Amino acid sequence: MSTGAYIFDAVRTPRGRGRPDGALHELTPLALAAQVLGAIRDRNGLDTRLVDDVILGCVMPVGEQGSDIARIAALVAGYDVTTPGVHVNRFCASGLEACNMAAGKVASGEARFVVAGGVESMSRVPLAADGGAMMVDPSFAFDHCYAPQGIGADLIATLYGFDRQDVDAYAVESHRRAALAWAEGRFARSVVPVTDQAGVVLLDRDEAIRPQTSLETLAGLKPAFLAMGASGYDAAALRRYPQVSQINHVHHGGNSSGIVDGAAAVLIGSREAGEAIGLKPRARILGAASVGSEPTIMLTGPAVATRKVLDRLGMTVGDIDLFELNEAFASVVLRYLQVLNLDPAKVNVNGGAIAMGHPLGATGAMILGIALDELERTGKGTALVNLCVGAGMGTATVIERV
Amino acid sequence: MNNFSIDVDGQGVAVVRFDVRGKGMNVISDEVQREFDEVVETLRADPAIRGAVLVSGKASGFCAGADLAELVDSMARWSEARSQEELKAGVADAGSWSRRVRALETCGKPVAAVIAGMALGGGLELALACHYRVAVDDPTLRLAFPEAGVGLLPGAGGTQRLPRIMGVSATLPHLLDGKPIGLADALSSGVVHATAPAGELLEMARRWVLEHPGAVAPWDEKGFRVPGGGAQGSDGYRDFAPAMAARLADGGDRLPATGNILKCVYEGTQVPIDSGLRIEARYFFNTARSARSRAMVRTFFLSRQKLAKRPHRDDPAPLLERLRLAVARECKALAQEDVPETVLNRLCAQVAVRSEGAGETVANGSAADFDLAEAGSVEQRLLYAQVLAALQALDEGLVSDPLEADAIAVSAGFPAWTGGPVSFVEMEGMEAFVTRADDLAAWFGPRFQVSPSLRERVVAGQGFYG
Repeated sequence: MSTGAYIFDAVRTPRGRGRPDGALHELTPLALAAQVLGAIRDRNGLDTRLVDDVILGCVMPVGEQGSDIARIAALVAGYDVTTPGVHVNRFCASGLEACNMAAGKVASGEARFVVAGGVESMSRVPLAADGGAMMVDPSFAFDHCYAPQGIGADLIATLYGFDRQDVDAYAVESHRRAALAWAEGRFARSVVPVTDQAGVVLLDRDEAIRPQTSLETLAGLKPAFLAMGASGYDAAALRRYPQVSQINHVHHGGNSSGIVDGAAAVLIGSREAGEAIGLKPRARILGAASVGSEPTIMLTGPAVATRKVLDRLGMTVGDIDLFELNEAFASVVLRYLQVLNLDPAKVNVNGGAIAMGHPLGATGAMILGIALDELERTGKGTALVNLCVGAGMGTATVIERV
Repeated sequence: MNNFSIDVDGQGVAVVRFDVRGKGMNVISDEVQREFDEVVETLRADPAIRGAVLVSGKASGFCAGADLAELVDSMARWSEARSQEELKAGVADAGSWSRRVRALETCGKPVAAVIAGMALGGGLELALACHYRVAVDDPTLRLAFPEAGVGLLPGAGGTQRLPRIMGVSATLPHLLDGKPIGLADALSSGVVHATAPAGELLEMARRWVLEHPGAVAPWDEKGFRVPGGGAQGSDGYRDFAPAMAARLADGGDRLPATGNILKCVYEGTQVPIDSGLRIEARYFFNTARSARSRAMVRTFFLSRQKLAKRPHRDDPAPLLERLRLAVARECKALAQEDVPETVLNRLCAQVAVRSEGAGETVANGSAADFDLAEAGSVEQRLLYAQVLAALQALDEGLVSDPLEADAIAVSAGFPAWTGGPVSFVEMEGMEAFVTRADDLAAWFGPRFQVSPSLRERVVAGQGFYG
């Protein structure tokens, strides 16, 4: 018998700058993951023998993030030895994919509870550490016109008419919203401080927000992907998009998602499992979808994923009160607003990864929790959480407050 | 032997003289290949031989590469392969020179090559399979892989040994563009180990052979690493990957060898040399049997040789005028269908003859709304419009024959990977071409109608190139 999947709780670490001087650099990704797994257990009084799986997203699953960090983190967090763990990689949506897989396991009856989430220590296991075929194997990179995502972001801006002013203005707004959200304590329910080896708090708020960010401060930043494009990747993008005469490189560190460290965990289970131990669900997972779309531009999957999940649920964008779309790059969100004709006031209302950073494997679970908190704060009903994903994919989840 | 002689000197060094009978330069024919087996077997088995020096008997240089006229027959045969047996036999056939030079490299005795003048393609591959290479220090030296220019790839270890000598990214201009390896580069990377005036080369090579009885190729030594870190190392990500992307400019991926050369380098350098050579042979076979490759060999080698012997050549102007008119007319129609101007300009630059009036078409179609799936159709219409115009010009006698038509068109910017507009028809298959043209005529108008003479050719099964 199929049952629904519910979210009982969500926690996340604050995000530390992903550099050697970042606040979380001295902790292993294993420790980050174990702390959020411990926190979600402790604050729900959860008997981990009821947790039928731990699913963690991780996008660079090599080095100290390798060899199934989910199972190892569960054991280190003190979960019962009977609780298994699995690591998943759907690039930037890994943390949300983990939640969707958890929902599937719960809905099918395979699991009572699943703790899903993700972890990424970008300061310790850098981008591209996992190698792979995508960037360098000619059977894909050449035959399918691979270009790195920054080129795709700039291509979106070029193709759909967003200039430097547009993307910078979006970035300024992201910082403004994130700073306001922190000032009003809107993240208080989900953020758990990260402690060091001695138990001293290392970080209790997102480290990368710069409330003073303005169009003027951003104007000084040089385009980050100009040289990369000139090295050959613009040619790949233009091979696929003959309608573009040249790429306008508008993105830089200030209007792209920040490189940060962090982890998140979401407790997902069936209503019956919750009732059995006196836990009240906070939201129901109505549905989810992952999609593939054109891989060279890479980052236009979210609108496709949104339409797919809403169509299947018999809903329209008008039925959604709140949207979270990961701010991988400003143009990704601007295009999403444009193509779905959305009110910007409903999208990323508390800022996003441009201000607070994007710890790859964890972000999807983080923004799911942020959407849930915001639904509760405002008394609204439905939220759609969405990320653009490498190689042209997109992943979306719809939740409804209960 | 007709092509090799072996003289063993008093110290046991065999001087192998490569001197193809009846030709001005050494080329690698089937007969050369067969005799080379005998050479290698002699070096391996004769206990009196301590090592060998390979020299050319030609003033023109070391070796000019494959006998393309013979290769063309093999390519036609390989193109027919469908069954497992045929595919297997074709790959084995395609790798024959590769296996022979590998046998030389692993014969157990030191082998040195003396390079004066040109060492091209399969000839340079032979030299790279020798343990030591001395080259003449004068401007006649020419080390290059011209294969890609005729739609082929170096199939006897060129894509394997060159990146193992100079790193995966540094090889690309040489393998993909045929850029000659300059003497300074050759020396610093190890493509050539030493240089000397022509008169001293043989003695230098002899001395090296005597002093290195246990010589093996670097890639046969335990712990060998591709310099620069290889395709999955820093060289791969930092340089090879963007250089590969840059090759997509101007639709460079339409050339039949480019992608396969990249795959040989990427895949082949991550495995031991013998595996790399087998991988290369498979991609060589795939390339050589492709319609594009066969079209390019014909136009850029066979026809070019024939045309060079003609006392009189056609005036290119009448044909080119027809082609340009066809392009202009098609662009106008496409513009009226709201194909964006950038698309027309980009695709004309890639698949149309160059024109003074290029970029003059005014089109207002929106770039943001352009459906990517349409790009292939736009490209096809531009190509078919030109090809039909070329066939019409042939019918009217504006150009004397298919060789001239193809040569004139490709030299004016008609895409090289087709071999030219007439060659394009053969590449598509005559029946398929007519069927597609009929479709285009039904959808877009009578300008795509094929002539009765072409239909007659199809019925008679009579190709333009016989």
